Amino acid sequence: MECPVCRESMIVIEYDDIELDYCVGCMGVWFDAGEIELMLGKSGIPFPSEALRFRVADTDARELRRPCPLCGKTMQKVCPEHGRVILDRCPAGEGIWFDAGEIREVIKESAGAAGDIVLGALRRYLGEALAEK
Amino acid sequence: MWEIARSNKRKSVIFVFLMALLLVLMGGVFGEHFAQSAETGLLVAFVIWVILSIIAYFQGRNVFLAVSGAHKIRKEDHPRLFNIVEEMTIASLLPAIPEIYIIDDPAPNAFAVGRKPDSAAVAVTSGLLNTLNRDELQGVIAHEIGHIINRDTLFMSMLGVMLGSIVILSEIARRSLFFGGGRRRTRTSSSGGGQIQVILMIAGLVLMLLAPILARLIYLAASRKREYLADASAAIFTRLPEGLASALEKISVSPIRLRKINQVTAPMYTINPLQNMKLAEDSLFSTHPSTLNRVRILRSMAGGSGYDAYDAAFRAVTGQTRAIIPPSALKTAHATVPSRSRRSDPKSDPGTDQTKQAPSAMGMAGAVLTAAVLMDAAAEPVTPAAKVRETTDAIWKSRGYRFIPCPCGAALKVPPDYRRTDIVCLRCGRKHPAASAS
Ligand SMILES: [Zn+2]
Ligand SMILES: [Zn+2]
Ligand SMILES: [Zn+2]
Repeated sequence: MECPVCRESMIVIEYDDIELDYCVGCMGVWFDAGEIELMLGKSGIPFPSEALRFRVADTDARELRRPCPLCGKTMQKVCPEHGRVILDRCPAGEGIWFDAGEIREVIKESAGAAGDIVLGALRRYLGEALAEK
Repeated sequence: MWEIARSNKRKSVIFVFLMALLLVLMGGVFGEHFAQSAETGLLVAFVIWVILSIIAYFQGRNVFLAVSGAHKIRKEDHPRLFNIVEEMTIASLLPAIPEIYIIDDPAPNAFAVGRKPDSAAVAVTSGLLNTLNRDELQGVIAHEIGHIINRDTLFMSMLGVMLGSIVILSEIARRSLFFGGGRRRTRTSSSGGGQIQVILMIAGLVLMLLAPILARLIYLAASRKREYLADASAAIFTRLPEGLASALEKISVSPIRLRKINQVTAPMYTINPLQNMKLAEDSLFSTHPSTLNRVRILRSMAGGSGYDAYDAAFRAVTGQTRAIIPPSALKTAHATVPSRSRRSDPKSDPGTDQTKQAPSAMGMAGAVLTAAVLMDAAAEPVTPAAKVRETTDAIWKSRGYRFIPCPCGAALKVPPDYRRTDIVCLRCGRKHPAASAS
């Protein structure tokens, strides 16, 4: 799979039976819908669930539109329900793209609110890297 | 084991001939409509049919694998799947282990291709591997090997290619009727002897519109019985009809649709993915018999796994009086095969009692099969997530990915076209040389 930002071939990383795709060039992360489902399954949450609450972001001309790495369609700009960070989501719901900075911001934003389960799971997944930096 | 193959052969020729006739007739109507020459159309259609048949005969296997997006895997990519296929190869006395392909698709399904039993291939979707347990997977593999043994694969792929071309031709004809109808009419009126022309034209139109339905009916007539027979073979090879029954049930209730699917490849699958999946009763237009019936028959095989038990169950479930199993097969060693118990817990069902139960039916194969069962080191993953990882790892490896275990506990999977010299771990930030991947 190609990185939607720099078109490099992405690395697959598996931890705790969950896989993410990331780009070594820009450290952006692709979170596949199937893997989100698996992650929720492991925590006993049915899918699709309330856990995936995103709202369509107010369109910002400066934000670059990106193609979905899976289906190639232009991704939608979305925000976590209680956050401000703008993410890219596949219009067909095949996954979510986090830019390198975004993933940390998103996790920081949601640190207080117990709200978003996906982000909570991501925080656990990337625990070590985030603790160091 | 070849008695069913022999009885199938004669009928195959008739079905191929009927389908070819339909295709060539369509060519005639086409030629008349577009080039005002039915003869040209007939000839062109005949040539197309010959070419298609040659392709289907020599390359059908590879064409089907390619259009369905199947990737070949090696034993080390998915030891458990290989183990099951090897086991069923031995139990079925197939001369060679079929090549194994995985299709990256969440919809559970499978198919078999191959001109000869010693050069066959079995393809399964990732969804199938993720959804089924060992007994169920074994049932599906046994069903596919049943198709190979019964010599269904070559014949069905040839019919499938013809069915596909008829459907496509009819589609072109239907569309062109909307746009190109005018020219045809002027010619009819100017050429005088109108009535016969009009009748012929109407007959042609009717043929164009009915051809796909007719082709599907021929395909159905040819394939329906074969599905039942492959189920019967699966029961003999696995000696556990419940495995396949439960698999069919799971496949048919799955809400996920196959991604790469079309009219040509659809009928090749264990359960036709283009059909209504609601376990419908047998309908006139289904290429596969009703899944509900197939499940019912397998579950009604009280105590036995042989042809006798299947035949009795078939008659009880469908209410038909004619036997489904050819009489020649009912006289063989496979007529009575006792069932084994479910292997939900591998320790409670040691492979040793398999040979004790059916020494005559299995003979040498039984002994080897037992060995294969005991050597079953490739244990089934416990959690659904671990099972999914087993499947995706097989897909990664089949695509040439290499793995790096990171000390932080993560595994990095490197694509074959990765250009950088090193890889930074997303989790811990450690740097690994790309060359360390294996
Ligand atoms: Zn990138
Ligand atoms: Zn997409
Ligand atoms: Zn690491």
